[in-house]
Amino acid sequence: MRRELTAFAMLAAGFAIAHIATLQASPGIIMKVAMKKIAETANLDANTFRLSPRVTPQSQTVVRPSPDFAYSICIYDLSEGSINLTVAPWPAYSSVSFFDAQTINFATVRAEKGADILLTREYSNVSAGPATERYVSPTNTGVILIRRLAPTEADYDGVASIAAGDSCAATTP
Amino acid sequence: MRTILSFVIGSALGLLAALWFSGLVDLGPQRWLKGVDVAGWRTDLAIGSSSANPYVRAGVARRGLLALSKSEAIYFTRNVDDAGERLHEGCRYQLSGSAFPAHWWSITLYDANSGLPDNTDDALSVDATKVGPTEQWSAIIAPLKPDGEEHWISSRNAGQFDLTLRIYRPSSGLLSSLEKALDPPSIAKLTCTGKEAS
Repeated sequence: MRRELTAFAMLAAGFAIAHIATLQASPGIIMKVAMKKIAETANLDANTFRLSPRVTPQSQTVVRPSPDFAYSICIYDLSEGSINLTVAPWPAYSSVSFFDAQTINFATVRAEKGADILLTREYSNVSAGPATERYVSPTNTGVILIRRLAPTEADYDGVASIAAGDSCAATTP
Repeated sequence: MRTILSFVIGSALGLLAALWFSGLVDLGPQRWLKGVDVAGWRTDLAIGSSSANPYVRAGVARRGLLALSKSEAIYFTRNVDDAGERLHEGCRYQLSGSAFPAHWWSITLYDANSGLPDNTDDALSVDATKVGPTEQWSAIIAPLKPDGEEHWISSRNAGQFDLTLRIYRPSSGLLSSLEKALDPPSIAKLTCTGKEAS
């Protein structure tokens, strides 16, 4: 009887450990794979904004992209310090959103009129410089995504003409 | 030996259960969305936030990575028509609805892998800018563009598919009383060819 109870306890322990570990680890693993895929596909260095090609079935790199948006993406790394973001204005819907390495959307900013944002790893005395807003990332790495409403090819071309005004760069010491 | 075997079997069952209940494996796109169901349109208002339970977070990572939290966007998914039958490219559907109380909205078609179906029709969504400021709108979902229809969503090469309704910057009234304030779009099956019957 005791052997059966021990076996059942081990079965339950194995179930619980594997179940919780899978659920806890999967967002971080999926995010890491996605960041690597995006960086490789776009030949994108950390802390650099890049306008993704217009979303089509042939160009999609993440699940469930919206073909109505033009996406600009920056894979950030705060291990060397804070970063300053500048987002160029766009007259239709526009937002800049921040996702940590565990996929949590920890901040979203409206950006129709543009935005200047400081992103740091912790509350610190780093000068905000030109930034009018500052946010603290829960993790060292993550993704910053600008969504601009651009349902047509002409709209996308319009975004392409202003996206050079976006920047995602390490703050100067 | 027996205790080790029990632990291994338990671990395998725990892994499979996590994959199943979170939607990390392909069990249909809606298994992990258990929060709100408005006439078959399902969502979870914890999407994107740190308050999401581990199942929702894992499911979103797999099927809706980089989704926004509810104050900026609400995402609904539906994979059946008004009769409760699975959406399939072999059938034509009429998608009808009214304007949503929000800054902007769209409805996009995705295949069973949560991707845009592999076609070049440039017609994978209908959105507020396409239908204009009208109160009522409708669109045809079909593999080929129907004659005379203003709004068309292409299901070509989609196989079994689902629709995602995005509502950006929802009104406070919609957020506070989602099930009452949302007028859910209907999906009426029109005709089918032979190959959709599965």
